[in-house]
Amino acid sequence: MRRWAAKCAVGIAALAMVPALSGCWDRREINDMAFVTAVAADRTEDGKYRVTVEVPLPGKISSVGNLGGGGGASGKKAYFIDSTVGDTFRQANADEQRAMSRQLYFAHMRVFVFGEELARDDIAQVIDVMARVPQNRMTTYLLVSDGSGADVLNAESTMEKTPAEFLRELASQSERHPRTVKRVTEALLAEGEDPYMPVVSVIETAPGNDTSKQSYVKLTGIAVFRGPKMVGMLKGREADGVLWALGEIKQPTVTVAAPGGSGYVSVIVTRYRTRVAVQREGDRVSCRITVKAMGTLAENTSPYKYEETENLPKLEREASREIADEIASGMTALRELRADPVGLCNRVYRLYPSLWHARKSDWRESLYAHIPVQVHVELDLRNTGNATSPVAVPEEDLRS
Amino acid sequence: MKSGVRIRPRRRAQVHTPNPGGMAEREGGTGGDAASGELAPSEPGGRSPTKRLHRALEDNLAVLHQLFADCSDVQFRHLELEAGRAAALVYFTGMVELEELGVEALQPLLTAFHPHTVGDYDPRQLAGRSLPVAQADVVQTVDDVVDAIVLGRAVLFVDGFDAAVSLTTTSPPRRAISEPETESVVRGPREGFTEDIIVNMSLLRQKLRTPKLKSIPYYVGTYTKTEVRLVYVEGLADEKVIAEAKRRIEGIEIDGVLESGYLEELIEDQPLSPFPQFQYSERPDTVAAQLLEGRFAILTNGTPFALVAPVTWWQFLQASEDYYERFFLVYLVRVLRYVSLFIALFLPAMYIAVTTYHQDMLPTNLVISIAAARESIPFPAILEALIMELTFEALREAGIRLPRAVGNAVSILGALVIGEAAVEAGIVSAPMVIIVALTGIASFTVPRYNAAIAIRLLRFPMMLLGAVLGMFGLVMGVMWVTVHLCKLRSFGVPYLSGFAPYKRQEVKDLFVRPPWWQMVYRPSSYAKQNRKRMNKQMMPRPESNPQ
Repeated sequence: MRRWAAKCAVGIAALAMVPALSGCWDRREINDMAFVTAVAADRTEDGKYRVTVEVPLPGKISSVGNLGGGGGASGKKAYFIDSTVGDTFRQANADEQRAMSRQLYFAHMRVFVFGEELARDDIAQVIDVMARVPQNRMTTYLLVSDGSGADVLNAESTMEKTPAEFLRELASQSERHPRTVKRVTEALLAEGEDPYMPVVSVIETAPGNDTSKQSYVKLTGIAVFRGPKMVGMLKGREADGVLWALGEIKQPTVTVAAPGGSGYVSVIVTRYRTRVAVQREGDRVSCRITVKAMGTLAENTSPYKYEETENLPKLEREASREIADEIASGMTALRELRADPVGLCNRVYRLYPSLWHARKSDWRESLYAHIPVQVHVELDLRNTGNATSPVAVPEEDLRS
Repeated sequence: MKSGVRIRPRRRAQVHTPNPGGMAEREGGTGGDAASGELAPSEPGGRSPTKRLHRALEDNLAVLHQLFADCSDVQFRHLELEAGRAAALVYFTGMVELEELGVEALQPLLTAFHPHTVGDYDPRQLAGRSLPVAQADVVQTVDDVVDAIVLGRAVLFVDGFDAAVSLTTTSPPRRAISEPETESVVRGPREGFTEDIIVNMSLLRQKLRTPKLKSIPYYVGTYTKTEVRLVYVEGLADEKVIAEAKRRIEGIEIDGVLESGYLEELIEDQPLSPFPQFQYSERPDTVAAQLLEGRFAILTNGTPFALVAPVTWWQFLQASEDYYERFFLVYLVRVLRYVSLFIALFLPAMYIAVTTYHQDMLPTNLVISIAAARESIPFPAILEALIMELTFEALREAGIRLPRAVGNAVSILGALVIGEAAVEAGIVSAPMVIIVALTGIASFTVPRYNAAIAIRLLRFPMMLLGAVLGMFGLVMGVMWVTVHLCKLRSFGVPYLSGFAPYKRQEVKDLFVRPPWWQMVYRPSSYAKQNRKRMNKQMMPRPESNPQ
């Protein structure tokens, strides 16, 4: 019994020493860390990286901490932005750390903004950092800024507490499947496919009288890459057309002139599905993009009544043609850029590997540039809304 | 013996069960047979040759005077019977019902009794024929006489005979049967066990009206001679388990047993486990239900708590009301209990591990608000957690022992100290208060107090593991607890029976509670025989209901 007790005592003593020995060496209290929520990377003129990080200040951002006196940060902003220059991304970060009382922590980085110059130069090196360091997540949203990336982080965030949160929400709304590190990396690595990312621009306005200028950030299009280099930014119809072809456009609205009359009609597409198929005929490859969509009539400024009349199929045809035109213009723009974010050639690689391997060396010129794209859109208007006839149009003026 | 049952080295038998056959059906009085049981410490190797009574009254009384010297409450009532024959009654005041003794023994002896021969005074004759007492037994040795007196009987000596009569009167009044405070229910019987084993046994017998309900009496404790009864339903309980239980109880050698907890710690399988290996209950319905599932119960005189074994871990997460309330609700409640169990055991540890090692696991907004709350906190998370948990445990402990009026003051103080002042003073953060409060609430949802204690205890090592090694440490802790639970046995029944080893019929009553008509079989871990408890087609259907 005594020996047993002695053994037990020794065991307990040994166990009690374990915490003291280890000393919790990698323990990091949550309030000793600087959570980086957004990063922007730019290329400086002398070929270095300028890395801008945004760190929210918990004491400012949350009302919880105010009870205990809050942190030491002063100023109005709930975040802190710092920018440093380095030969590599990591070097810039290390330099940044010297100006931080808290440990930089990148696991909560939700948005990464490529400055335009850097995107045009090469994104692969930065993507390498993202994939290599475990703190970085593959789910971080990627954006390209129109101009300097640092400016995007410095723009005011009107609706959210920090620009990072604002950018994250923007990015998550940009597409059905927002571009993340994972998706962009996959596109970079895939045969016959190029990455793309949404573009954000800083827009300056002076609402009302021009006493105070405001700057805000807006989604303005998509950045198209050829391999790791950005070759162009598509905006407006062309960007929408590409997103249609990708099946990534979110809640698209199509506005067409009312067929055969005055006024416009807007249609909200509630559901759609895009199919991209490539077909080989001998040595040639053709592509057919099919969109099947379902929509709702959202606005009608024409005197036409669309319920139970011949007008509805007419409108459907008109709106379908509009979508098809958008897609075609987008695809044409892509072909001119010799960039293939839709992955037509990836489909060739998968379906006709021998053809792909024969053309692989200069596929953009010899293969991609010669693929004709046929677009076929079928829009089905299921619902004309609650109002059955145009409001405030007299009965006798209605045209069926 | 089953292989799983740990066999203890047999100690010298101290307690004997006299005539087990006649014991089970006694009601309303401690049995006469039991009085002949040998209670005094005896020599190793069996009964010592006992000292027989003398013929002369003076000699017997002299012996008793010597044994009961300085016992001011022992009474020697001298009587003079017809023809000048001397007699004496010996008893403890307060332990016999004097009025009953007067009517049933003194009155007939002194006034109405007219013997024809000398032999009529023979205690053997008196016990069998002449005295109108319900319980009268003949005792012939000094030890038996002493036992009878200390157990609260009156012993009648008549001069000239080497035997005496022990007279049993009704036991002195005890606390009334009331609702058990530790196991109150919304729906279900309101009666609970009392401190009197006789009452408790009768409560059980009112639930199970069958001669198959057996009760084996033991007297444990050299000085307390506490009556302990092993109760089981013959034909349902596993005979091997019963034999093992008997063996373990017989092996107990201790000066006194004042509560069932003494027995529990003396006969459990794994004395160093934090997990309870007996269920205890104050509710006759709970015990009866357990007996019907093939377990046994141990009633201890002097305490309202009956022990039940063999147990599984799942039993501690089941309340008696689970089986009275409609099963839909119980589905929900049981799931809630398992979630609560997880929270009570791991939440503070997880909070510590995640906030000090795995900040990447939290949503960004949450991590920022936790960071904001911790902005001015001087302590690391583990210290903060320990301060709060210890304060909470201290408050709980203080609340239990205090009188009810003061208890309110403690809870107000606690709410103020923990909830308000500590946060405002910047000593602990608000999220930690929430974590501790959640943990506290969750630990109260474990229906059995002794299981809740195990969880309470294990929470602290888990917190330390989480603080030292993060999630990795926590996983180690989980594995240790799991391995320990898998290894644990209660009277040879695996602690996680039903789930591990998996048994289809049992597992359905673990995490949820099936409707009664689906529980056709008894849990096979306990009931080895006679497993069917109802007809298979008991689910009510329209055509089965007579119009």
